[in-house]
Amino acid sequence: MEFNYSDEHRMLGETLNRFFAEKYTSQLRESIENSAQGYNLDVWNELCELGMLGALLTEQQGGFGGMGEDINILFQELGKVAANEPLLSAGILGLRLAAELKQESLVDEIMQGDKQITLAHFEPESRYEIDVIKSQATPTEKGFRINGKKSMVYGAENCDQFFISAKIGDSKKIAIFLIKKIVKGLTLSTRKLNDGKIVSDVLMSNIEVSSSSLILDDAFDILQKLFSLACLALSAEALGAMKSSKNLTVEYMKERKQFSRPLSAFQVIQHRCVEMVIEIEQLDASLIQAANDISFAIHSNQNDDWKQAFISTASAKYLSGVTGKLISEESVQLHGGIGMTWEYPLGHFVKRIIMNNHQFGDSDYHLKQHIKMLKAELV
Amino acid sequence: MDLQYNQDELTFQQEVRLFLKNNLPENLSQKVKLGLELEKSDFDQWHTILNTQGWLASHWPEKYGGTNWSSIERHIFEEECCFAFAPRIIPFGISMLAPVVIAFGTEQQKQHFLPRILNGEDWWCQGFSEPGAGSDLASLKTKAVLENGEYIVNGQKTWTTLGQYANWIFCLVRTSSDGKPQTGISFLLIDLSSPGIEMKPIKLLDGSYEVNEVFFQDVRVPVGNIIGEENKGWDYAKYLLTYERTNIAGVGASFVALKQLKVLASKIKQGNSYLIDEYSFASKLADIEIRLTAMKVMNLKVLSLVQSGKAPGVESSILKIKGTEIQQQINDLTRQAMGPYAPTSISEFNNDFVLEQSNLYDDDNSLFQLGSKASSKYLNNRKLSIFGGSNEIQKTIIAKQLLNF
Ligand SMILES: Cc1cc2nc3c(=O)[nH]c(=O)nc-3n(C[C@H](O)[C@H](O)[C@H](O)COP(=O)(O)OP(=O)(O)OC[C@H]3O[C@@H](n4cnc5c(N)ncnc54)[C@H](O)[C@@H]3O)c2cc1C
Repeated sequence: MEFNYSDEHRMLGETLNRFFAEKYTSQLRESIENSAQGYNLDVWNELCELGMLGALLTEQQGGFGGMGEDINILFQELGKVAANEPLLSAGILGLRLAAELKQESLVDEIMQGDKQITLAHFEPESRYEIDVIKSQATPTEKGFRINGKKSMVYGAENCDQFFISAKIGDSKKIAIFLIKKIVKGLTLSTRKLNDGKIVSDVLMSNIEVSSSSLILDDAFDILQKLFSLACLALSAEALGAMKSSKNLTVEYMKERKQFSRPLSAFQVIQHRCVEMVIEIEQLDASLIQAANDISFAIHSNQNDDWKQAFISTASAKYLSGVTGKLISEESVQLHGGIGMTWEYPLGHFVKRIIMNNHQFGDSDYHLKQHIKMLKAELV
Repeated sequence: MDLQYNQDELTFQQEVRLFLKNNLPENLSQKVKLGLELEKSDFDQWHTILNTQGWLASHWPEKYGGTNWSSIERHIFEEECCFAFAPRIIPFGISMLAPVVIAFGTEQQKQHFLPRILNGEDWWCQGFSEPGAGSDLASLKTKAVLENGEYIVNGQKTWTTLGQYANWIFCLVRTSSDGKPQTGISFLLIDLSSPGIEMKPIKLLDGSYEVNEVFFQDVRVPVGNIIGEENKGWDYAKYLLTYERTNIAGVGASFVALKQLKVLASKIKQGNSYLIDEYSFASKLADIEIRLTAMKVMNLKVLSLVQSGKAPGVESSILKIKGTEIQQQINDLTRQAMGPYAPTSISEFNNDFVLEQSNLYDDDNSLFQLGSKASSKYLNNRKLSIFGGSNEIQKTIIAKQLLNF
């Protein structure tokens, strides 16, 4: 048993920590909010130049990490400053998926920063269910004709190509296609999110694609595994933001004086801060478990190990939702009026924490997944 | 024990319903129903309609333009207004300042200010809080020094709600630093067009602008604008806060919001079923409904106490805590209901569809609009447990007054 991170992992965390701490000033934040792409291009390019995308791929895939721990560390650092750079949408859902689908040349292009790509999977009616996909690919002479609608595709407008999921003919299997963004019949309607990111609905109406754009005809397993990485990433990012949120609150309690003493002198305030610390510790532990199980499953690639990884990422995502609500609401409450303002940095963390719960399943959804797996274990 | 309204009250309820049906403009109720931001002109329009009917300041004495409604009747009026999606009555002039002027003001102040509040000439805002004085309001520092028949005011107020619409502000100012902090405070009425006043907007978490900072530099205020006696302002402010906390529970508004949430949950799909069919979601919805129903009874219990001439004490603190918690829970669950659509940004869209009649999945915009409204409302209403005496401060009041701690 070893609870210390390896030197490589420690360095990854420290490098990112320094990098983001230096970059994420309030001016940068403002420039991001007013930007078309929803993040800062220079910061993104520098991240790519630093080779940080390599942390998302295993050595076999051409990276230097790609394990649960790498994701846990990287996304916590992202969360600590509530960074907007698209390491989930273009990183895990683009680069990592390309690697899982063995698209080597695509991986190279993305790694060099020449290209961005993401996955357009969920649809308006699927909410958080992976397998509720209505998009249709109808075989034609030259390939396929695709119809359907994808919703809330993060960063779609910044991509050159998409992986999209659809069902072929009357097959129940979820197939993955690689399509260009600029193609007849595809329209994006793009909007801003409340943290400045951009998101699109992707409407596909009679898009004609060649047969080579079909990448995989049964992608459920790959998607399920990929989504467990995404859940880990979102939970880790939320945890990073929770840590910052709690730290800001604790500092403020020591500074803010009311009734001639610092608020931290009131025992009820102390207990509520301590409650936050305890819940964060619990979430941290849950993420260590999830990251560990994912790494184990990636190494062994055994079904049972992946099952275990799914259970523990669902648990971590559940806890991150529940803990996140507590930390956000308590942080705002304990700050009083100042915590309600746009200028004060707390708001960025709170929004990131709360909104991460709205991607890849909220706490209710993951609790249900946990219950399903728990029942399955009993039979 | 009888939880029904009596015959007179039921007749009154019918009268209110009929009035709302005939007089509440569709454009206003529609805006309220869709959760759109109301502008000053919207509030003014509704105030004028109510004033014409003589119902704007229902709790004032009749001789100043009020009604002789009982507290139950006032409750019925407020509830019916919520159910009909009427705009809220802006409280600062009508419910906060006016009772103070009526109780402690001079005859001249009553003659001058009360009609102007009713006819909408004056929009008041509340200048109590300061950067250094929030929960510990008595530590406020904005200073007023009497010089040749004028107070010279210097200092800063903050969190001033809808100050951007106001032309007057009622302030607590320090006129003495002797003795306990509470005993050196005066209640001063200040014309916002006086030289030396600057108002700056504060942007809130959800991107909205509803609060402001107000700076005072050598602002001259006629001595006649003080309420009651110098250094007695704290007593008047406490009197005002008892008014601020009536109807704090927001029962009617919560019932309306809950009803809309139920409709929403029956329309949002999760895979092949609807959100309302999800046990975890439905159980939270039911939990809120159970608590809200209990709170309605708690609220009526307090009202009948008031009806019989007793002043509510800790009960209003209990109602403030429970009422705001329930409102926040409804906002929280509405945000959750919107699922992947919740993170969308506010102010990009205007709702132009009616939830009950629309299939959310026909048109992209519906989900985006509802999502952005839900998350901004969730973020914005975190304020409910902070202002009006924070929920922590209410608990301290209950501990002292009820438990003698
Ligand atoms: C949206 C909004 C609108 C407002 N509108 C107005 C307005 O129109 N006019 C006006 O005058 N003011 C207004 N306020 C100000 C409001 O009344 C104050 O925010 C409130 O009194 C709390 O003060 P504070 O923000 O300084 O928090 P603080 O007093 O600094 O408190 C911070 C936190 O510590 C807690 N706390 C403080 N003391 C104790 C204690 N002894 N024990 C335990 N916990 C404690 C508080 O409950 C709070 O959670 C508004 C505020 C907001 C957010």
